[in-house]
Parts: sequence; C-alpha cells; structure tokens
Amino acid sequence: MDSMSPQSRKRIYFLVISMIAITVMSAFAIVWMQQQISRTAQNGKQNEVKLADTVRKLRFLDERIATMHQPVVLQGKFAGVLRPSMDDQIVWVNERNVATGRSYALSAPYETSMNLALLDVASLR
Amino acid sequence: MSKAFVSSYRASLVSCAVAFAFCILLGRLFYLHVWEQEQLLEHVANNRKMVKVVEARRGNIVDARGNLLATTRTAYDIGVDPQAFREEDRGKLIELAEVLGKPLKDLEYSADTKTRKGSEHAKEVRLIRWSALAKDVDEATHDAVNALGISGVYGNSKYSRTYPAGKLAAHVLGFVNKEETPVTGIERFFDYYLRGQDGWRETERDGKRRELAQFREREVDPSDGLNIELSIDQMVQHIVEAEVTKLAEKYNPNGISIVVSEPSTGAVLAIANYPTYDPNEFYNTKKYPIDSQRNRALTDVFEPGSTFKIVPAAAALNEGIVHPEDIFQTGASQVSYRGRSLMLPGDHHVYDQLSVHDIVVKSSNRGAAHLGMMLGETRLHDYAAAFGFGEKTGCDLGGEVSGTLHKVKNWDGLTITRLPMGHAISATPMQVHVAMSVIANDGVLMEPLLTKRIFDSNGEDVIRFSPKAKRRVVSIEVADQMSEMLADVVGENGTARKAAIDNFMVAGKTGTTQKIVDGRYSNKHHVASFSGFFPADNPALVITVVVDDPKFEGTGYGGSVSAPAFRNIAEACIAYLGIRSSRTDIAYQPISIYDRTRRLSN
Repeated sequence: MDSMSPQSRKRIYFLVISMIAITVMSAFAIVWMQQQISRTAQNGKQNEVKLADTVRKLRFLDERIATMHQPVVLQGKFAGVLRPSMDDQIVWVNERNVATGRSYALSAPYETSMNLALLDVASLR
Repeated sequence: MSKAFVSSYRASLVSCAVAFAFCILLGRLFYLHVWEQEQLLEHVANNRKMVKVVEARRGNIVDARGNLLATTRTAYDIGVDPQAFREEDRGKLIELAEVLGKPLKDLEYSADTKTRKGSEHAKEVRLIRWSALAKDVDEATHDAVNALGISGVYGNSKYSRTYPAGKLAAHVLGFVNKEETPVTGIERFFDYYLRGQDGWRETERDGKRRELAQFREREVDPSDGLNIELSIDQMVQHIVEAEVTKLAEKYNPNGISIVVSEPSTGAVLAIANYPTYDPNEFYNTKKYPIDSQRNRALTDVFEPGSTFKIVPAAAALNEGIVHPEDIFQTGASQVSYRGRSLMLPGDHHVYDQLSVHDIVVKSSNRGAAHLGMMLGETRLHDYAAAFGFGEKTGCDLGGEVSGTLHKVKNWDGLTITRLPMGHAISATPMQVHVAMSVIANDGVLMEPLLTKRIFDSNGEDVIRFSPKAKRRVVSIEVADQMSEMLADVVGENGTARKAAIDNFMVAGKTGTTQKIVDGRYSNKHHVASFSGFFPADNPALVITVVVDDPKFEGTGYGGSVSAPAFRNIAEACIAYLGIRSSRTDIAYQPISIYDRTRRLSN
C-alpha cells in the first residue's frame, strides 16, 4: 500500500465507495420497483373488482328490468286505467285506396289495436 | 484483575454441551435445508401458491324479441366470522336481522359461537371462521348488508340461475338444479353452448389468504356461455298461459297443452301446459309436484280422435280417388271390405249420405272409415306417417315421445275403420299440431323451430337455425281444398262454431276422444281438442288446444271446451301481432263480443 501513489489510492477509494453506493442504490431501487409493481398490481386488481362489480350490478338491473317487464306485471300496473277503444271513436290513419276498400294503420305490437287496424274506408263517416 | 477458577473438567463439559447444541442446530438446519428441502419447499409453495378457478357465466335465454327468460345472476351467501366480530357492532345486528329477514336470536348465536368441537375422538376444539346467516341473497340485500359495516359480516358471491319470467314458458326453458346440472328443456338441450368454459388463475396469497396480485403467473380468462334466442314470443306465451289458467279454473282437467306456431316456418311462438311450475322453485315439490315438470305437449300421448280425420280426407284427395263433392252412403252400419263384413263406427247423428266435404265438416266417423277403406291399409298408414304420426317432431326439447302408429302387419280387422277416426293411434299434442300445420302450409311438413339462433356476448350469430321443411305430404291444391273444408268446420254448420272470429276466416278441426278407463272407452272421461289456423286462405298462426279430461256437465267436446280457448288466443294474437284479415266477402263487423278489458285486468 505504501508504494501506491495517493492518486491511485483515491481512485481505489472512489471505486469502492461507488460500488457500495451503486449496490445500496440498486437495492433500494429494486425494493422501490417491487413496491411499484405491487401497487400497480393492487390497482389493477381493484379496477378488476370494480369492473366486475359494475358488470354484476348491470346484470342485476337487467334481471330486474326483465321482471318488471313481464306481461303480468305490466298489465297489473295498467289494470283499470285503460279502456278499449269505442266503435264511434275517431282515429286518424293514413288512408290508402287499397283494393279491399280498407285502410290499415301501421301494425306495431303494443302500439296499434285491432280496432284501429280494421277501418272500412268505404263506409260513410 | 482476578481470574475466576474454572475447573478444566467443567469447562470441557460446558464446551462439549455447547458444541453438541451447535451440532444439533446444524443437523437440524441440514435436515431442513438439504434432507427435507423438496418437501418443505413444496409445502411453502402450496401455502403461498393458489390456483383459483374463475367460473364462467352461463349464457342467457331470450325470447324472439330479446326479452330475458333465463339469466345468471350473482347471489351471495351472507355469513359472519365470529373471530372478527366486534362487540361495538352488536347493536347493528338488529338492523341486520331486518335486512336478512332472520330472527335476531339466530344472528346473535352465530356471532357469539366462536368455537366448535372437532371429532369426538380427537376432542379438539376448532375456531369458527364462517357461520352462514342467509343464503342466495340478491345484490340489493348484499349492498344493504355491506352498508351496515359490521366487522366480520360479509358475503361470498356465487352464480345462481334465475328465471325472471317465473312460470312463463317453464316447460320450454327447463331449469338448472342446485348442483349446476341442467335438468330439462332448453337448459338441458343446449347445455353445451350455454355453460361456457371456466378459466383459472395461478397466483400467490398472503397469510390472511388474500391474493397477492403481483405474483400472478398464469391466467386463463373464462369463456362465458353463449346465449340462446328462442322463437317463443313472451307476450304470446303469456296470452296462451292466461288461457290455460282460465281453462284449468273452469274445467279442472287432468292436463292441458296448447301450442301456437307459424305454419310457414314452423316457428313455435308458445307452448304451455297445465299443470305447470316455477323453475325458480323447482325444488318445492309440495307446491309444484314433479309431475308438473312434464312437458305434456311432447311427452303425453292421446288418441287424436277427429282431428286425425284430416289425414284420410287429405290422403284420399291427394291420391285422386275422391272429389270433395263425391257422395258416400253413411247410413249403413255394416260394410263389406275385402270379403269381410265390417262393423262401422257410430256417429252422433246418422246421415244417410255425406259428401267428402261434409264428412270433414260433420266429423263423420263412418264417412272417415269409408275414406280409409278406399285408401287401403298401406296408403292410410303411409299418409299418417307422412303427416308426422309415429315419429318425433324433432322439437329441440328433451323427453319427446314418438307416439304409436302400428305397422300394417300388426293391425287387427277393425283398424282400417277405426284409424281414420283417430282411434288405434296415439299422438302427442305437438304431433297433432304439426299435422294441422301441413294443411296450413300448403301441404309441406315443417320441423318445429324453437330456437332461432345462438349468439355471443356481442350479439353476433354463432349458429342460426333456419326453418326446415321435412317433406311434401300433399299437393298445394289438396291443401287448399282441405283448408276450405276445415273453414266450414268453423262455419255455421260445423262442429267448431265457437272457434269463429269476426272478420277472419278460421279453419280447424275438433276432436273429442273417449279415454280408455279400465280397458274400456269411457263415456265420462274425454280428451277435448281443437287444432286450427287462421286466416284460412293465408295462414298466419296454427293453434292447437288439448284439454285432458275436462270436468264438464255432459261430454267435454272439443267444440265446446277447446274451440273457445282457440278463439280467445287467436283474437288476442290478432291484436298483438297485427294479423290482417284477407277476407273481402263480408262487411267489417265491429268487434263487440270480445272484450279486451278481460286481458287488461289481472
């Protein structure tokens, strides 16, 4: 060691200290990275859970909607409120001079009743 | 500085003891790290590693308009971990009892019971980590439980099959039992597509068994089950089931089957049976006996009776051996057939002579027997088979039976006169329905179409089912002639006047079959049936109503029991589906007889 010049000695010290510093910093970096990986994975998992929750709730709502849209349920809601259309009730339909002499309203379930669908345009009104 | 005296003997002894202890320690370390290394590493890995199965969600079943008929929901089993339960939460148990609808005492007992005895021999005491409080609760209840924030009370999720429509189309849908096994109906028939493929995840967990997401190694996503779109229309099904309920209340029959379909495609819009059940409560056999789970339209056979007369009539016309106006002598009760004297079946009204047209309209048994004899055994058998009798219709539901159509070699001497009137043969309501659809569909036999398509979660088709024509049975001309005759059955002189609908031309055939009780035809027990279609000249729907043993004063005729039900269903379907009348020969009759408020009230 005595034969080493002070400059060489400094270099060796610097090298050793650098190695120690790099080792320590790398160790901390690895720990930090592990923590980041862990945190990101946890975030991903939480998002996954949230997404699953949302999908599950949507499906639950779908089921509720399907239940509420059952004909029995819907009819229960409107029972006693609706009345059948009357024979002398005036309704407006787009007339067409069809060969049968009848005019038809557009046929759409829930929207057009049979009483609207069969109007005799030849009859006096 | 003084030195303590230690004898060399003692010092050696202590040194040896310390050295021995170190040896043991080293030995133990060697044993653990080298000798037992593999097993211990495996043990550690097993404790940390976890292969979690990610359940696939079973697909939905929807009707032709996309209404949900069967779906999979997340249900929760709510429980308490007594070790984690805190005393300060005890007050919240009252609210929890209200939310779950359970007695407070039960909840307190579950929370307070912290240990349980193991096996009697071991006499060990184990800590309770989970005590069930409620099973199969829905999302809303689970949220309400979570909102209470009781430490140690939580829910474990699981998939549960549910049927939002309740009893609606129960026999078509079938159900999945508690063991996740599909038992009947579409659920069973299309299980392969509905069930999906479970996924799995290889990961690690911490000491509290929580997943460490950062150590996920391999992950295979589950593949959810495909969805099924049926040809069933929820509203038509409801109309039919409402009618079934009315029939059941009025006649208290043993069973009812009603089928509604489109003749041109074979698409089934509704199949309803009585008795029925709620697939959400399939396990409740007190409320819904096992018997009620049978799809009678496909599994129960009966003698079709007069509804079968369309077969000999259409066959004779198709063979060109008769004309609708040809006259038969139907007054005689005995005829000579191939050198034998045969007794003809009786008629309610004896007519001296009837045309082919009138044989169908008046539903003459003797006339039908004459037609059968003109055709001969082989042709009569072959036409019956061509109309679909004696073979399964091919409906996409399990449990269908083929009925009975005996081979000619097994016929007895009277079969040639009895088969044409629908005796000596058994058929399911669906077979009778399919046979009538042949006439409505210009003479072509269609396979019943119950499933329109199988589609994925994006709504894209995976499989699309097309209408399938099985064979031509009779010519278009003969089908037209038969339609005209059947329209007169519903006319003023026919047997099914109660099936008539204002402004519409209806065609159909009644059937009243005596049931066989104790080996004899009973005069008290009947099967009343009506199968028909409308508009007769451009059929939109075929409807078959079969009522098994209606409790009725007198004979439960098809014309008086089943025909009115046909009319009610048809009128409701006309309004709902917007079916137009093609009839131009009559002035429009305002609808007054049929009061639609009947359908609007519950």
